[in-house]
Amino acid sequence: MNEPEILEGAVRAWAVPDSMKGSSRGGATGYVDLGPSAWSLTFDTETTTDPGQALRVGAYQLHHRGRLRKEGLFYNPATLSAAEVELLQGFASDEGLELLDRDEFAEGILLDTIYRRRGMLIGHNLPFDLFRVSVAHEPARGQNQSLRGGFTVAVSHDPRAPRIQVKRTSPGAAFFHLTIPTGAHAEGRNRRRGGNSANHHGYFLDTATLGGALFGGRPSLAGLSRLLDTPKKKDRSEDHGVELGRDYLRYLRDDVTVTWQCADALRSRYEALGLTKPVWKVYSEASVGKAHLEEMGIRGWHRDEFPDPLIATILETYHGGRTEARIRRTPVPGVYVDFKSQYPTAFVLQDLWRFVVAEKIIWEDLDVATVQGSLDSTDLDTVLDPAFWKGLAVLVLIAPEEDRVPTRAKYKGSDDARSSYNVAVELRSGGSPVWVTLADCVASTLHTGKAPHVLRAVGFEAEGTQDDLRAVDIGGDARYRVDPYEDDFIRRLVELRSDVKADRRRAAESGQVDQASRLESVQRAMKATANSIAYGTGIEINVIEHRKLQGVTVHLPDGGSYPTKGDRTERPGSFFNPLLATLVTGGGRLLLATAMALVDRAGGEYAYCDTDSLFIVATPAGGLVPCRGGDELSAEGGQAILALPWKTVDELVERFSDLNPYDPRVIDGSILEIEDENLDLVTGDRRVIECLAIASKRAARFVRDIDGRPELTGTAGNRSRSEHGLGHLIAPVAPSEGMDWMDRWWQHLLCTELGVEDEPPEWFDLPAVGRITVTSPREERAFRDYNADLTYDQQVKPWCFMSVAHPVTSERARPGAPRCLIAPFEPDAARRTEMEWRDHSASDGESYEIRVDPSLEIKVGSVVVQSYGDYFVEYRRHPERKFADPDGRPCHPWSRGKLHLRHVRLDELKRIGKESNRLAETALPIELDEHAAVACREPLLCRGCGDPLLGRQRMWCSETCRIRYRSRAPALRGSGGSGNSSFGANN
Amino acid sequence: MSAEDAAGWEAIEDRRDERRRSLGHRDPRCSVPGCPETDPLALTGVHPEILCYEHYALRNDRPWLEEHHLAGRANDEITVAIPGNDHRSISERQSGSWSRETLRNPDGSPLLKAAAAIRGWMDVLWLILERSVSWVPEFLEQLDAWLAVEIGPRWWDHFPESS
Repeated sequence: MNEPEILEGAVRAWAVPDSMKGSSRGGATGYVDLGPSAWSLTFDTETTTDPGQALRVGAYQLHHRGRLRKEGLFYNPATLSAAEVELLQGFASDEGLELLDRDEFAEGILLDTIYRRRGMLIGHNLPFDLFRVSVAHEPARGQNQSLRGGFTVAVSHDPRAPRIQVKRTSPGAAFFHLTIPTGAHAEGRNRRRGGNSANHHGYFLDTATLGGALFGGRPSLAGLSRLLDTPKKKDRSEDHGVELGRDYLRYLRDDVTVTWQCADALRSRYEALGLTKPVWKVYSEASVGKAHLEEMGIRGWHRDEFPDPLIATILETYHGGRTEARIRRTPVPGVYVDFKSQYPTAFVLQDLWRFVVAEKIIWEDLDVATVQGSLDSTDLDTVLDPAFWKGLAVLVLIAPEEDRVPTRAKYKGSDDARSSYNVAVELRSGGSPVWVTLADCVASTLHTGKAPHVLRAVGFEAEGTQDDLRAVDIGGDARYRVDPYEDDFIRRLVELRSDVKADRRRAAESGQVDQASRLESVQRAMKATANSIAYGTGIEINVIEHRKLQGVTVHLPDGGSYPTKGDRTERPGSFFNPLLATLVTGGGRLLLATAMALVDRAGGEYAYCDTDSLFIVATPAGGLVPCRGGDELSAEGGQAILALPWKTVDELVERFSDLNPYDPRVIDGSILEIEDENLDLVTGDRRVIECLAIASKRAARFVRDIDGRPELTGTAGNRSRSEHGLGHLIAPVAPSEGMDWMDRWWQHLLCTELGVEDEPPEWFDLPAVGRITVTSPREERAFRDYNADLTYDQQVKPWCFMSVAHPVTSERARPGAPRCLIAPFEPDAARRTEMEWRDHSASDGESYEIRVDPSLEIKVGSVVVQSYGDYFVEYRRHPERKFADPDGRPCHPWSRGKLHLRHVRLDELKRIGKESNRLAETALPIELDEHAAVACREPLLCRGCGDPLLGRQRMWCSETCRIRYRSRAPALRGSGGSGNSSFGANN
Repeated sequence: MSAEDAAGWEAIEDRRDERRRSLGHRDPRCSVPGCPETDPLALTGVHPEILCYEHYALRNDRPWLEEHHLAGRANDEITVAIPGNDHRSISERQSGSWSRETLRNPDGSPLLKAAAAIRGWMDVLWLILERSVSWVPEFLEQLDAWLAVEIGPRWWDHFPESS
């Protein structure tokens, strides 16, 4: 075995903000929120199409107890012509609508409803519309930490008027908070007389958020109205930004009606779940999951239950799903399999429900020799015994020596100017001892044939059961009553989902398209709820952005800690339980490793895996498949790998039947399933499918037609290809114009790799354009210069949609050249080259045209930007950095064939917080997206004595140190602490 | 409903909601066993110690019947005795839905006095109707919807004598 490479590694940190100390259970004030009044205001806006997207005209409906009481239009006099205002007046008069200007609407209707009347505000993508009627905004301040990193929006010019705070929490959801001016109000009177009414802070219902929470994804208004079968369906309009017409005003008015009907239907759907969590507090699938736990009376997380070093230990063991491209840029035939509801299944197999309902969780050091002994004797048969899984609630400290454990590191390649942390189940030796789950140890044992060397083991057990837990009906269905004392909620949820899927199939077969579509959304929502309870809520950590550096204490597993500062801190969610999360993901990885080990024992290979799925190289009768770097030799003398016969794969799949923890009457057979795409769509017989992988999360599965051309498997709208790395780009062609653009992208990539002639799509020569939405003050700062001399209406404001294009490298290298260009959002690709683009970081108002030009000729006022074709080349080149190519070098862009493990050693472990993928969401260039992960910086040390700095200290811990250091000879000064020294050896 | 009536109705609904919040309960009711009073305007105290004005008066040794100025104190001294709870509702209607000029009538206009007297009688009639039959329309609407589901959209075709 070659010497290990030394890489920079990282583990998840337990970083406690100073503001959280001593407040382990926040939020519970004992005050009761009576909820909204019977009033609700639904509104929608239409805007200009410049980057500022200023309000032109809006429509609203005011309902009381579900009955329409008032309806009207409002407009922005600054963006409408006199003729358009006249048209509005005529239309409003003819239709019996109230017509207000923006200020009258904002103060007389909007604030009056949500503040004085305590009504509910309803909209679809509500933050967008709120900012359209705003007159000012600033970064959110105040005591409410959950709003930090958001905005405070003023919709009235009156400085005493209430304001609305908005903070994006996920791509489809935002927190809202109405600030209440000081003064007398009913809730205050109640409290003065001994009551417990909570101040109201507004009630907001975003149909996009609630729809996403109930059905998964980020539903459009049109999609929701179809799904909910509302009496009125959303129309399309092509008249955005052009002169107002009566049809457009009708369309706008109808949009409000559709939004109201969707909100009403969503509330009914939510009420049918029988949950007491108010509908306006549902932000995501996780909210629905937590609402179920609250309904059962299950207690939330209490930080005092675990000492900080133990939480640090647990978080060190936490990693997400395992994803690998093992055979790169080489098409191989095989069978695609995946685990049924992998995380919930891992949860049920380990009987983790006992921890959820436990009075307390206890832990103790286990006898190391016993743990080592049982690990040494573990084999595949052990793991395939369900009884084994009940004893996996153990974390172990190991001294890695050619062990395969999850390793988060910067896997640099020879061509990398920069790299980020990636997790790989890598061959690891030496370095610091590392905490891992017992499941990961077992997985390593299955992979390497030897157990890791255990230094310490901590076992967890549930003690007692919480009092006063209540039974609930899942989905409001009495057939699925769960008694938390007797039943595993997750198991019952998975079983119910299976029933719903069966109903959906029957509905589809009998031609009930709408019913099948509805049941599909229901089963997707159940999947999201099961995953959120089994795993998501346990690792829920909310990132809070601060304008000033905040004190944070980073705890270490060995009991040590160090103070540091950061402008982004983390706060655990109400059902945070990292033990459950790490045991579930560890269990998921063990399931996958078990399948891989079975393939390995049979002499086979896998080409690709992603969390719960595996592409096993296989052919009908088995045999050799040419593959560079393979261990076999083909008849022609080339390198090859062994493909398993389908029969062997079937037997392998069957081995997982014993691990099925579900009611066999509902879910029968193996938990490892052969996916439908392995079957011929017409005959239902098994067929040969192939896989081609570029890197993790960049793979596709396909079949070949009679001419040998690749065709993606899967069904229309759900083809078997990755979307990762493409999602930030706007579709270059309208959906109506033939094949989905990502399908076409992958088809061309497959043809290119397979050597099949295929003309590049015409849109490869178009500028590649991403969509950007500014949702935090940090992101808004990128437009500070652009906004400098513009009126508020013209400024780029939060939740504006924009197009963004990136100049090619040679353009960016020119002094003073724009680095990132923005323009109004334009869905039509052909019109994007005709628009005026502006440098997002310049306020001079200079506009550019964009073009794609291989000659890179310099033209004044014109910038060469990256095309879809340029992105395609980069996408294809993306190396699988965590592996080595067949020649043993780190994988490079053109590596091909079977990749090999890299042998690594991590001498230094950095502590990092929650990782986020903001790049993919915002399409901003990387230099504008610093802190993609919450960094837990190492402690700053005094330049004199080397002690950690506290409070506002920046260089010296005391005046004495400063004077002493300054008085030293200049030659000695360089030997002082640099502020980046000692942290690393975590144990 | 005219715009003026609608504004008055909205004002009363808003007052009711504000009272609910002062009382500290979404569906407040008098805590005296057997008392059916649920109108937030006729209740006082704080949850769970909520009392209707009549029981509050009795508890404080005051009469439960109160004198109501039918046309408003500024227009006429004539009063009628009505139960305390109803007095709260009817006074709220007076201050919420009458025009301010009619209620205050600072110059003593005889026409405004007449208007106030008519409004006062209308309010009493409204109160009687509200207390006695206000539940009926909604009940009929619900019954119609129920029959439409159970029997069919034209359920009355099965009952010729009812159409």
